[in-house]
Amino acid sequence: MKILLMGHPNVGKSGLFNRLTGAKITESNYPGTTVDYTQGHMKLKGKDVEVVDVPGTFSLKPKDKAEEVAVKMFKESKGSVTVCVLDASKVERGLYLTLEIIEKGYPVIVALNMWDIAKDKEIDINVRKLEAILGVPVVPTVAISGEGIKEMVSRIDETSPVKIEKVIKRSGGTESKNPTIDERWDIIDRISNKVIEYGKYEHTLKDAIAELTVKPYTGIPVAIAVLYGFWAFFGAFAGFFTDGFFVKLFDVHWLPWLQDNFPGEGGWVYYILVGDPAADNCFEAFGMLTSGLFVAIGVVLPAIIAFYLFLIILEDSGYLPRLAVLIDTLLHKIGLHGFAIVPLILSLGCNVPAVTATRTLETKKQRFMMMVLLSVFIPCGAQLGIMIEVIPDYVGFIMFYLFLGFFVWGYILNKIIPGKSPEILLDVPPYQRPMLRNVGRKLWLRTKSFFTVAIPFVLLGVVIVNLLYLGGVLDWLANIFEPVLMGWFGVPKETVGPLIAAFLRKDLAVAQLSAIEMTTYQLITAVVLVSLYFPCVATFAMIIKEGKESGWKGVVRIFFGSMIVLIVIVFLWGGLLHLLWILLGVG
Amino acid sequence: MIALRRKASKMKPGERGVVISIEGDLKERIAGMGIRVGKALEMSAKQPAKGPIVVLIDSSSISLGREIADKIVVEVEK
Repeated sequence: MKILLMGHPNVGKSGLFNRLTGAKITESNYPGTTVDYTQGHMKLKGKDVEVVDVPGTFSLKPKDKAEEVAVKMFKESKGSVTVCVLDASKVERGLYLTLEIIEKGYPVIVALNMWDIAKDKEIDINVRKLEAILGVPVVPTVAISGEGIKEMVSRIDETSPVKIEKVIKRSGGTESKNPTIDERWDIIDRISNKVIEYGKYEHTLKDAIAELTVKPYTGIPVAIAVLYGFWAFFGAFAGFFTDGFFVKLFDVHWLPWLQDNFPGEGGWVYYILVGDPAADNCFEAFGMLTSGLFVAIGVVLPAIIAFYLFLIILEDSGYLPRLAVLIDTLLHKIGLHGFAIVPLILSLGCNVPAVTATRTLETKKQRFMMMVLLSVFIPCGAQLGIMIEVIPDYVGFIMFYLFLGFFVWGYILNKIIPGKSPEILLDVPPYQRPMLRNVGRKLWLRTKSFFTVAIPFVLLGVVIVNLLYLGGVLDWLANIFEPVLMGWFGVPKETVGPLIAAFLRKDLAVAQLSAIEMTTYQLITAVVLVSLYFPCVATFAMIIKEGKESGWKGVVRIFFGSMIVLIVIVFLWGGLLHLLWILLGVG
Repeated sequence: MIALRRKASKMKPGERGVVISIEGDLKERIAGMGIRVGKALEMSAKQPAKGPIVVLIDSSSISLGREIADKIVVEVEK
């Protein structure tokens, strides 16, 4: 037996899923948080049953990739018990999907989720009557508090397929068993007249804020303030812990202690693990236990925590869709639309989940563009953390140059890539107060995944680069690439080491760059190059995985497509910076 | 009360109206979101430079691109 959780985006399916299965998947307040299905298990009358959290969809006619995943899952699970999760304050439009599902002959149970919000809005729903008309169990629930979950579970086995003709008849109509769109709405109107009573709706402070943050003349200044606040918080929080605590810990205590006590100075093991015996800070030492640990824990960890703390509050409050509306005008000019801001902001934390988040964009063209643009131009939180630490004065310029590239190349790609660029069509949810429990849990999950994925890669990266150096491979490569690096980009040939490290971790690469002797302008170019050039392995793997959805042809297309775009952009956009320095007389 | 027919994209912020028709494929695309013929709709915000609009329908806020809103005809209350 399998149970599907189906419903509109952002009605709390993932919250319900977590309640049912004890899982801990991400819940946020914006449509499209879940873009892939998640499977879990629960006990039902002593038996183990599978539960699937399906991405939200407005109807069984998908309009983007995430909805496609949902509808495909639905069709493949023919006959499974379907929990139709409705937002109790918006029952009418939720019933549209419910009727579609009933028409397909699936056994249905309706969860009127966010029941508390409906009560606050004085919406009175006659649950018994609704149940009688639909002929399926209807249970009010509040996923975040757990209210109604037990009753819902106990009634899952009451479900059985219902004939739509009977529902139509009980609603008092005579439509056929294959209603058109308008007829389906007529049925819903009659049902809603019988079971729902709307109290007097009062305009609250929340509504006023909701309106002000989406109207252009008030919303745009607020958006700028929020984004600036995000940046300022990120820098201040990360700086506070890194400069105030970790730099001291690593440079004053850990490094000298290792240098004094680690056996075998001069040997290769010492070189790989501790690095340069004469170094007086952890950026220059470049051993696995010195620079590796310092970069991962001392610099990147505080940056990641700072980034996600702020992001999660934005996610849970419901601000992101409003930002999407405000920035749509700009993003639509380059063939994307406002909702691309979600993968873009996620990308500033880590490119990997951002690639998956592109599924909320409608067309292949938009998804391809966004995947390439974000993996090329958007530095991740780990890299940003290091940049703020080693080149605080130039981060602003570098970010400006990268974002400019995002728009310029977005504009170009939009012109040359065939395909459609549909406009924004987005449900803007009401604001909600972020709940401490959810914020804490999400922060913990994301930090944990950073620990398990990133730290081994940082440490491995140091080891590989050191081995290549010891084996003479780095020198050899440096000499081979010198004409390109020096001639085209104007950076010293030693940057070949960091560029190799950038395959694994961009944060590590920037840290390494800071220890190479070069001019400020060369350093800026080198950091830009590290960002532009090949996405880190994890991101690249994710892009290929997304291509796999459309078979091996998809993989080939996305691999060669993104490689070509990538190489062109690296040479032109990186070379342009060198040209700029030459024109300014500093190159 | 005089009623005026116009495209949803031409409504002014704060104006209300009732949806009269939705063009072609769009009808199916937005049906699930609750936008349909016969529904009251209020223009809540309009972004400059041909940016998207935000409408209120049954107390849900929905943002639509300008060209999408061109395909929805409403009868505006005056």
